[in-house]
Amino acid sequence: MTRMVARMRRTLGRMGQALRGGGELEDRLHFLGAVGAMLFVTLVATLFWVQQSLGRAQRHLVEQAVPAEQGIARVETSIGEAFRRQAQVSTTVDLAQLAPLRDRAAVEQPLRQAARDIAATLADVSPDVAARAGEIARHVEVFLAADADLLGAVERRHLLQAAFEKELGAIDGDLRALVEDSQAVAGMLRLEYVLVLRGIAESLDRGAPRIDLVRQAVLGDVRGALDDTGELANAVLALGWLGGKIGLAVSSDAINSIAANELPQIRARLARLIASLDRRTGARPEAAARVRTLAKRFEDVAPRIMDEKRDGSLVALRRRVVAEAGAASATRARAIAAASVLTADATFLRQAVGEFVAASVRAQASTSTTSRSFSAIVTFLGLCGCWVAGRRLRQGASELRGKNRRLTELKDNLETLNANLETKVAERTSDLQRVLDSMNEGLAIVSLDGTLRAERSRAFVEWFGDPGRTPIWDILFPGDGNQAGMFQCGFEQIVDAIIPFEVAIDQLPRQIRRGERVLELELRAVDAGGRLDAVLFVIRDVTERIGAIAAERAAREEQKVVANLLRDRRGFGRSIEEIHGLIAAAAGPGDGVSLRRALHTIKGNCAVLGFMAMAERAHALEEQLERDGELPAAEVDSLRICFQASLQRIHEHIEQGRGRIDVDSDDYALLLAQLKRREDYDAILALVERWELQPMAAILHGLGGHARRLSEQMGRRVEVEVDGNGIRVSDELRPFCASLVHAVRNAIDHGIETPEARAAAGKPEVGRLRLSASVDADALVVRVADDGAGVDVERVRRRAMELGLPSETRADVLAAVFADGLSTRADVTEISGRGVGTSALRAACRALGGRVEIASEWGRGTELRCILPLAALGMSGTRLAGAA
Amino acid sequence: MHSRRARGLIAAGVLLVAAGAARADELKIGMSGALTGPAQALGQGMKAGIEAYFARVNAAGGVAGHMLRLVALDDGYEPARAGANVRKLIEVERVFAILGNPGTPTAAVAVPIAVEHKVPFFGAFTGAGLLRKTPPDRYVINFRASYAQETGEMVRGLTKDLGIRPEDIAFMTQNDAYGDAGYAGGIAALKAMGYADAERLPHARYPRNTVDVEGADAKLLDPAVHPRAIIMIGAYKPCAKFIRLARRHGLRALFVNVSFVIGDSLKKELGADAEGVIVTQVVPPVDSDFPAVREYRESMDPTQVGFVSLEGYLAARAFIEGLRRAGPGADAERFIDALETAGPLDLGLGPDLEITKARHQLSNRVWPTIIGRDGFRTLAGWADARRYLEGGR
Repeated sequence: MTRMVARMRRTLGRMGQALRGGGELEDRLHFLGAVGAMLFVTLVATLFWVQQSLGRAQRHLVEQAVPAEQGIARVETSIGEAFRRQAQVSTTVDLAQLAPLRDRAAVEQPLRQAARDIAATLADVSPDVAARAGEIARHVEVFLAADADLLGAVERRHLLQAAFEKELGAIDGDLRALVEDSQAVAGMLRLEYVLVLRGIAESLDRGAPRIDLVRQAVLGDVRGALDDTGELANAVLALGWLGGKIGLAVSSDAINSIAANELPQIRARLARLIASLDRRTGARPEAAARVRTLAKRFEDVAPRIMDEKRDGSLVALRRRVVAEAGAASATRARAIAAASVLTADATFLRQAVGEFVAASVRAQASTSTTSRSFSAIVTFLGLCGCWVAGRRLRQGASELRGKNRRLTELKDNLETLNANLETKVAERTSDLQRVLDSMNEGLAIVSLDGTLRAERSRAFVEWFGDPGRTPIWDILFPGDGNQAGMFQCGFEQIVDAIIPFEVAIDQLPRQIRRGERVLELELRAVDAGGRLDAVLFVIRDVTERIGAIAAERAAREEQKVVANLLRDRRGFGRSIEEIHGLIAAAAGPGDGVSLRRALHTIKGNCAVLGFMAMAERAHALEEQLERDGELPAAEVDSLRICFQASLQRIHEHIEQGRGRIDVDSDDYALLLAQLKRREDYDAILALVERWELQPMAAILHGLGGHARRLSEQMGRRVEVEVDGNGIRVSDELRPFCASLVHAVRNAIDHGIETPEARAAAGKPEVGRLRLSASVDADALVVRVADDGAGVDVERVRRRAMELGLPSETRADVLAAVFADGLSTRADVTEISGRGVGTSALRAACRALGGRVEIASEWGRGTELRCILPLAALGMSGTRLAGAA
Repeated sequence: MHSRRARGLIAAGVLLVAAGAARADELKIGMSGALTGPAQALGQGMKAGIEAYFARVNAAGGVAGHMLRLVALDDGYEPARAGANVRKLIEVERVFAILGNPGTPTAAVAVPIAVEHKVPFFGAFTGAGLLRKTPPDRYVINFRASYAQETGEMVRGLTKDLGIRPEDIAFMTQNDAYGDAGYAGGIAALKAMGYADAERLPHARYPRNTVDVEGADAKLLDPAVHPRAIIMIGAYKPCAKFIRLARRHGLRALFVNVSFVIGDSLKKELGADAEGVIVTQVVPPVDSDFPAVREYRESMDPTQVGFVSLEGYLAARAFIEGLRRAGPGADAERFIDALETAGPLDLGLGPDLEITKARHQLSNRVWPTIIGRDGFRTLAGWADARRYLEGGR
């Protein structure tokens, strides 16, 4: 509270100061604001008051004057409508016309409602107006009562008129019958008279006139009676005419006249005529009967016309009709009088409402005048205030301009200082850029959002151009969304710093390709204040280095291959062709097993020949086949391309050896000796022919070299013994010799233990592998024997049982080693590789009509014997054994 | 005999079914006529003839899927009642047409109502000219020849064939539109043959619905007049009384009646006085050999065979033929159109029956008959009646 008071006092103080011409610009603005607010509040208050005042007048008009005016108009309209209806009611001629006018609700309701509305709206205007408004309801009732009476009177008149007309119709029919009766009597009389005349005429014709008949015709009463009937008919017609006249009478005077004069006269005349007829026709039964009928009919009909005491007589009915007509016009007059009272009420009230409206309008006008004057005063005051405030503001503004000028000067000084500083910074930056430009590495600092900062080396720009705001992953892998995405993930891992920087960068690729170039990435953290601020990318061009490594490797491989080639040129050539054949077999149609065997054999043979790249490729395909269960044809074909590329490098060496047969010096010496001894020609021929055959020793030596290389790779130590026994073999054994590599690999891979294991088992550290060929009995026997661990019979047995193979005897179990797919699963890899090698070997033996035997002793070693019957080979043992 | 009774039973059964009135496919046809009172023979006869033919049609499956039912109301031969009846038939019963109404004064009231409501007024039992306007009312179709044609034929036969002088002809007529129509036809025929003083011929009248004919007899028995032939336009009771009185008092003349008198009733009423009375007919004799009449005799209860029921039967036959021509679901307009454009109708009565836009009357033939000792006999020619003329003065 005290704070507020203090603040107000302070504000007021400032304002006072501002008014006096002093104070800050802020104070002056405050002052101006306060004056504006006061004026605004005053204007709003004025507006509110004016609206209130006008609204009150308006409300009076809307709530009282207008409804009252409408009510009065409705009363007048309803009375007009009621008069129109009354005119219609009065002029109806029968009940049917009256029927649609019977419903008076359309007259009563609007009139009563209008009267109620008027009384309600004008109740609080002034006492005399309220009283008159209350009167209206009563006057309306008087008018409505007269209206209802009128309807009743007219209705009764119509009812009576209808009854009158009905009775008149009935009487008319009876009168017509009376005429007919009289005419019938007249007809009878006339016939009688005519017959008399006929009698006279006939007597005249006969010449003897009948006097009696003439007398009857001349003096008889028939003509008198005929006159009576004529007069009677006329009287009846007159009576009918009188009935019509009664119906037309509109006053009781007219009815009195008819009832007192004409009706009794004609009745008397008719009675006299009937009596006369009755007398005259007394002697004629037929006519007399008809006259009696006539008389009775007349006695019935006469009172119905003229008897005053009879309710339904024409005279009585007509009197009542006339009376009701009189009542109706009296009622109509009453209604008119009541209506004129109502009209007077309406006129009075309309005048009163008019005065009320005029008063309201006058009040509105005076309110408008007052509000206009007041607004003018307030506006004038406002203008004065604005003038004073404007002056004060101008003064404040000129002071501000002075201050501004001083500030500008200060700013100029500062800018000069700043410019010097910038020059220095620019110099420094250009130095830095020169350093960067002189470097061979691509250097770039990458912000944590992946964009590059300005500093980067010339090499970077050369390799990647000017990347702008492109993030680093899109710079490194343009057009490769997948790689870029992975790199982005890795980079974000670095930025997140959840795992250590070193670990995070390990997950990023270290090398990338950029066209022909291979670039090596190195990332370093750039810290600022102990936190990762950016990442420095150091990029080196390692294209040449990698090329050199690859070239060196290729050269080494070539060297090894050439060495093999030179050692056994013919064998090498055949091996190449065999590998070609295997590749073709792999590419051709066949089941998974044959493909697997082909790949395995390719791998082994290429390794033996020193085509390491090729062996690796075959291994990779083997892996892929194992993983996916199938190989795309393109992958298999890649093997062929790879092999051709390998061969291309040693093309010259192969070409040199083509068409040559190597003869070792022993053979040469032997041949020479035989020639000198002039030995048997056949013996010499056999010797030379043998040269074309492959020395088994060479094959086994090749396998032995492979075994040694393999054991080096696997950290085993092995000594290989080879014994060819001078046996040479023909080309048809090549596939078999190629598949021997599996036995050798198995022996090294699974047979020979590590030096440590061997030592622990009490064996010499260097293992022994013996490869030998011999001819036993009629078969060529090739043995691969090692002194390694031997077959784990129990494990193989379990596996064989799982596969449903025979496993009861030890021999069964050992035979199972050769089964296809025995060890396709990883847990038996240690004893028998992929299970492909041994089965491939067995298949090769069987192809030559031979078999494979296995002998193994746990901890002591394994011996594989391939037994190929010579007969099946189609060659003689002597030829095989040769000089042995 | 057996088969006829059986047919009658079937017809009665059909009528009972039709009287159920709840049938959606029922076609109602109205009639208002004197079923009680002095002229009841007219109404009863027409009703019997129409219903006999309807029964025959209904027994054969109706017309265009409709069963026919005649709604007949009694007007006692009073014009006021006839008007109310026809209104009721059209507005309440919703009849398709009014068929076979007997009487001229009743037709004077009924025809304007039917025309106003566009309901066909077919085959009324009257020859009055007010149903035969030129051009004809669209909705009024007549079966029979007009009274003017009947009286014209009488005048022709009496003067040409029997050689009676025009001045020896007298008239006895009912004092209403019927009587006047016949009288006017006779006068016109006489004038047409060159007799200018026709109006001065003796003319007696009697009041309708009465037998007060003494005055009329007196007029024609007057020794100052001596008619040789009396053309009578009246109802059968007063006519019979007139003839009896006249003959009793020595009037020797040919009494010639128009068809409306109902020959059978007249003959019965006259008894022994009937012989030699001539009645012209607008339908052939009931014993004639027309196919339609043969069929009529088969269909009819023998006690009701007569000229009136034959006319009812033939009118119904013509009406049904018109319905057939109009086809299924026809309204009144199509019915009239079909009749006007159909050409000659084969009703089994000879070839001249045709309705056109200009002429709404089917039959123009008049058959003179005479009551002999054995009953009615068709005159081969008027000269055939000479025997009865010789007794005159």
